[in-house]
Amino acid sequence: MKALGKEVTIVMVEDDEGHARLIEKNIRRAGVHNEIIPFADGTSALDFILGTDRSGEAAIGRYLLILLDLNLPDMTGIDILERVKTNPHTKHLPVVILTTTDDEAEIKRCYDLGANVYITKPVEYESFANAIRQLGLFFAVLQVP
Amino acid sequence: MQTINRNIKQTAILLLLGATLLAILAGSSTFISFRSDAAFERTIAERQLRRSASDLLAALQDAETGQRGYLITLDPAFLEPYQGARTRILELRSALEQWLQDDAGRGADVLAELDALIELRLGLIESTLEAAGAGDVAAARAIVAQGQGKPAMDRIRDLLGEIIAASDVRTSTLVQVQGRMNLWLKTASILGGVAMLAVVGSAFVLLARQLRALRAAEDQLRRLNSGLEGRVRQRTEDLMRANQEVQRFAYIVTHDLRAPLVNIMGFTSELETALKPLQAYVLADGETVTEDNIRDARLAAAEDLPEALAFIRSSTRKMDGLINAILKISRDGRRELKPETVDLKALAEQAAASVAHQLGETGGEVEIDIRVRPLVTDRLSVEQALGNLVDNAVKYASPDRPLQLRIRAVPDGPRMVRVEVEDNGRGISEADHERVFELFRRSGTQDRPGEGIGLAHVRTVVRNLGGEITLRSVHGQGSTFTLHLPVDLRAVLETVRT
Repeated sequence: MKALGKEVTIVMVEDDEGHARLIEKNIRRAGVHNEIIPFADGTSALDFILGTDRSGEAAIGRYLLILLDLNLPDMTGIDILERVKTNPHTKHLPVVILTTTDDEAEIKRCYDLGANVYITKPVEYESFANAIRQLGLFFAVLQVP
Repeated sequence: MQTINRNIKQTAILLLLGATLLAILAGSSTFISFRSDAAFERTIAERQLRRSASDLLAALQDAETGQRGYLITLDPAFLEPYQGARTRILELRSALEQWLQDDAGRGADVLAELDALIELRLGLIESTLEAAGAGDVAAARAIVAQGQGKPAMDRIRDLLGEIIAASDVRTSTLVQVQGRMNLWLKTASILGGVAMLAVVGSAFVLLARQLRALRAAEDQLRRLNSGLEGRVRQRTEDLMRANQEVQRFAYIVTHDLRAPLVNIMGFTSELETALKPLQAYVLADGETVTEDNIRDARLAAAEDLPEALAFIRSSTRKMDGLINAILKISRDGRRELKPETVDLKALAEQAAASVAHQLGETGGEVEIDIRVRPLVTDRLSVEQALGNLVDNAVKYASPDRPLQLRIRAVPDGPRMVRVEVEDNGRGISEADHERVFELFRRSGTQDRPGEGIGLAHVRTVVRNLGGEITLRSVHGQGSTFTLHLPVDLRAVLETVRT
């Protein structure tokens, strides 16, 4: 998966180890072999995306795709989404929201803040796997320059 | 209300007293004036008696004068005053009888003697006049010379004088009586006036007091009413807050329970997937097994199956932990509170002692400054809240400096106290000041073990006590958690019941 000829790195912000593993497995199964960098909490994820000074300059020249869980131990995914989408250096980065809630108000809020895709983690595994595979297709689309 | 009732009773008693006084006054005045009237009538009667007596004497003297004039001159003109006097004497005699009859007793005797004397005297005059009229002047003079007339006349004068003197004595007595009556009347009037003034005055005072009491009652009612409105508003706010909390709680719980469920379902499916290459190998039943089959089966048995099982196990354990935590919070909310006298200083020292060992290792210090009297509250709740805050302070101490922990308590109004637990630890960023109190939520770098239950638990127990917990914190500098606790839990429980 490349963008403008550069390899896209997938940043996965997910505190649940099991979820992270399942997401990774399904992404791989969908034929996407980009590097996945996992983060289990918001602080370290922001440190990576925006830099420890939160200026966003760390993101210059990098092509990231952010998989974001809304329910994190130290902050909400919405906080991260807001920061990423309001920073001039990172606002163009595609953000995929992955969460267990299908609360309408929350979905709307995420799209308002600039989320690109919103995927609910359903309890039925098949639909979850499907959703992740669709995400693989999305990556495939992204791959086309 | 009782004051008003008492006042009404007092006013009624006063009015009754006033009416009684008035009746007594009117009665005695009437009685005195009747007595006074009687005395006055008696006085008039005495005066009539006196006049009749002196007139009678004058009439007798007139008769004598006429007799003498006629005897000397034989001029019939002198008979005229005699005749007139004679008629008057008869009239006055009966008048005297009438007035004397009122005076019981002695009157009849005196009157009888007087009648005899008058008759004697008039008889003598008549006989001289008859003799003179017949021309026998000498015989007439002889009758006069006999000298019977003078003692009779003297006696009459004495008798009438006595009557007059007696009447005078009675008159003066009557005057004295009347004077006394007047004095009584005056005294009664003055006393009555003073009494009426006193009654009216105290009625006025009572009325004023009653009005004041009424106004005070009205004020109190208004105050109670506005207090009621405030209380209703407060309750409504509490209810709305509780409702929001319940919704938030339900959201968190379902969300957090769903996360391990996603894992269980996901890895169950992975188990299924991993089972296929294993079955292809183990249940080949004579069919040819390729190299790929063998490699896939080995991979499934060595990696996929154990991984899936481990995740399923950890997820079920996590779910169990979450359910236990929810149960704990729910149990704490339902626990019967036991109000008892609790010395905050002892509790603070106990909490500090429990972390003394950890503090000693890092060179930290605890400062306790309790400036409130012992509370009446639930000991276990306050113990848990304080212990939790102190544990947190130690747990999230800044690695750059030794912990300075301060536990302070100061009064906050008459019914509340503020217990502050201040540290110079890593602090909590502004955005998370509310979040830290939510169930399963934590703030800052996740480098310490914990499930995000502590502060949620503290908030639950503090709210159960009718209190609240607030937080002041600057990220990187330290945090101050403040427990706002009611001084007397019994009063809180009372208002909750009513």
